[in-house]
Amino acid sequence: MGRWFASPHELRESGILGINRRNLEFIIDTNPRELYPRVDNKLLTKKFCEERQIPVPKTYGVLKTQGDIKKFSDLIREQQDFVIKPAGGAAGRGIMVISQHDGNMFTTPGGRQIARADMLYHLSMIISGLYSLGGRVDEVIVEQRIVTHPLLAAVAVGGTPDLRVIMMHGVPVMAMLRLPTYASNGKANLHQGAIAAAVDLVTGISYGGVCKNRVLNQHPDTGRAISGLEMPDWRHLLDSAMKLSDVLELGYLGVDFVFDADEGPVVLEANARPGLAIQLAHRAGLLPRLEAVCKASKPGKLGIEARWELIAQIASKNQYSVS
Amino acid sequence: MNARILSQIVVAILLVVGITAIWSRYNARRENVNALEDARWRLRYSISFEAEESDTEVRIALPATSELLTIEAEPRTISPKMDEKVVTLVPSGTRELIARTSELGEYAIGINFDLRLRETNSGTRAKVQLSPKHRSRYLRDETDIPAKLTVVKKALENLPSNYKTDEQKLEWIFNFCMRDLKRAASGTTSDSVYGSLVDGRATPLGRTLSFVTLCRAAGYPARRVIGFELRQQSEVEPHVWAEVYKGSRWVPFDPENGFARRIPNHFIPIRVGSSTIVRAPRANELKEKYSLVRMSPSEEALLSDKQRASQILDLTRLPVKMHEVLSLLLLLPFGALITAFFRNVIGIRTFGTFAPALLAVSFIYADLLTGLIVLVLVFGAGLLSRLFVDRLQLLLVPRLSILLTTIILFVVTGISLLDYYEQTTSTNAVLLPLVILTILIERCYVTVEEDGLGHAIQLVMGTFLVSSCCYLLLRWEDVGEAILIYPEAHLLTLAAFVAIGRYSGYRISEMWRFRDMVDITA
Repeated sequence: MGRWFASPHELRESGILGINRRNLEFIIDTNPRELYPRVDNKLLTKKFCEERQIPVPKTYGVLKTQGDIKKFSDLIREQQDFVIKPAGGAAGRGIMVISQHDGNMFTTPGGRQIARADMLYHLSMIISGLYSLGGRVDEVIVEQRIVTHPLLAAVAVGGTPDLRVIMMHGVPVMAMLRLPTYASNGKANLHQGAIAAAVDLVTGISYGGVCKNRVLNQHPDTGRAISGLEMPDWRHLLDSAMKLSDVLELGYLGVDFVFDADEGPVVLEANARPGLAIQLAHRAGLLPRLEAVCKASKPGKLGIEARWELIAQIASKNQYSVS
Repeated sequence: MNARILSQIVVAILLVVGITAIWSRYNARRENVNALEDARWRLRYSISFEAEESDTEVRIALPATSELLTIEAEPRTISPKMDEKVVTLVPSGTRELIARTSELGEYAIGINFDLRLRETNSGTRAKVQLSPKHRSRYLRDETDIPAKLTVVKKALENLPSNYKTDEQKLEWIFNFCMRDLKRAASGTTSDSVYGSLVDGRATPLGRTLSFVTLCRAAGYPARRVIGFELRQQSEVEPHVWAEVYKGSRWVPFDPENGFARRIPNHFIPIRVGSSTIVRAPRANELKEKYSLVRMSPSEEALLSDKQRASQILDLTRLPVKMHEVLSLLLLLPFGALITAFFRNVIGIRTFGTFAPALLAVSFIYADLLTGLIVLVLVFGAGLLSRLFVDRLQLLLVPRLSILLTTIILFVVTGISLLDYYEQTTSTNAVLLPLVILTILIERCYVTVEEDGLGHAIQLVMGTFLVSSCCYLLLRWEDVGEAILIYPEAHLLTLAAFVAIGRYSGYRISEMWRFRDMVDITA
């Protein structure tokens, strides 16, 4: 590609949503600030999910203070694998996945060994607020480790792929599959080198593939095709997303799912300020879809049936052929 | 009312109020300065004559107004038996009062001019077109300007032949009239050009007339100007100087006083093209008396120092020592504006919103070199403490405190070292950049931990870039001085913040980030 810049006119024509507009039009008005803790605090999000039978990873325990760290060993005694996660973190910071341990030595799925002292230190760091938004004192969630669904396990490497759905007024508008790579250290973090693929809203099948603005068709580490993957239990996933969006009462929302081998799609976290990289994965802008939803929701929030119809409509906007 | 419309209204109000406030205070201040510094003079004409023929006419030249000279009042006392009218002559532009009477008798005319003179630097004179007719008028022979006299030609033969440019030649003529003609008492033959050139002695009038004559003989249109030098004198004589037409302008020369090409503001011209103010060929016993009196500025100008509420806004009133600190404080919002612009319009992010502005301000306060030294020391301490302290696996807050202590030890040692090598520094100056850099490095530290080195470096570069822009703008002294006088200018800054806060357009970084997407979808 020889371009240096796209003009604002071209961006608008392509329906691309910029961050200023996202904040002013879609977040300030539709996401009341007092509701942010519902998504910023993962414990709270989990509670909302559990109340509505939306599947989430099982919580083994919560460490609230430095003193609680002593209870850690008891918590994980029965578990072969688990995930350590800051309740107030974002963008995957501070998350530690353990695939096996013997109480003294903890091993990550990538093979890294962590000594007990380092583990306790990490727990302490989380509680002191190192990974939390705003540096506030935080809590540690010790929860079930999701074993990746076989449909996706072959493609991803060293970590769990996740799926992000952007919701507007309870209607899914765009979905993106994020695949970790060795370069991203097993994290599904696009900035750190994970791959993103667009997912069709109606079929749940992936297409395209982009890594840091470069187009990709195959996973660089496994060589598997990125497009044509069918998300397991797609309708159930969208259903959970819609239910969660309704109960959280946030108008513009990003919901992250992972696919458990047994349970299928499970909610990992929700985000009140989802990023705009999903447009890069889709090679299409969010604006036309958001505007369609806003227009349809003007008289009032849509019922579930109406939403499914709307999904079919907007999924066909700005899609290029599956390659 | 939705936020967008409300914001637009707020921006409009802030702009209107801000601009009005600045504009009115600016004008008031300027007027005030002018009211005090402008010179006010009363010029009085006392002219008397006898009319011994019917239909006697007296033409009196009046001072001309310009951007420097205004006439505030011009009361005249003229006998009711006289008709009067005021005309403007062409091409000289002289204003003339023509008083005519048909009855015989003695007449007196008195005119007072209240003059107001601005003492500022006048710019160059306006360009003037000289038609061939007028050009020849200013080149011709006149009774008292005998350009064709042999003496004149002989005097010009002394012009060095290697002089090629007009400036050289004019300069020679000027020096000749100014220097080479010696002084003579007025009223003698040395008033005339012939007498001056032959005797080698000239009166002030003779000097000027000789200059004009020599110029005309050399081919330069020239004319005389009669006017007054404004100074306190109860009886004052008019003064005659010259103007030469060069480069489409009339350029003044005063060989008597030694002014070439520029004449002080307080020489005011009355009649251009002649050596007399009053022309009355058929009047007898014409007597002219002129006086100049200095007048005080208006009462209200003198009262301007009195305590008044609007003086609160003028911060230059405060002691000079406070000016530096106050001006830096007032500059901070500009720094924040630059930061906000970089973030929301360009898309370059920094550590913190106020940090770049504060950093820039601290470097201005401390001076660039001290600031840079502190910067190097702080970063050095940061790196060092990170290397050693990491292995101890301490809790966050004590870890950051060690960073702080290391920084302080480094800086204090640095100051002591500088003193040892006899380089003086100001310890006070060090404090501000030290505090701000320490806060920044703490955030940098935490960002490296939370978001990785790459992201932290991005923010460092962004902060550095925005700080530099702030620094370059804010150290501009004119800005600092202006904001002290017009702090209400920040109403405009507030309007800018509201405008940027509602800016929903694309960031420049997004024009780059999404650049490849437009090809596919188009």
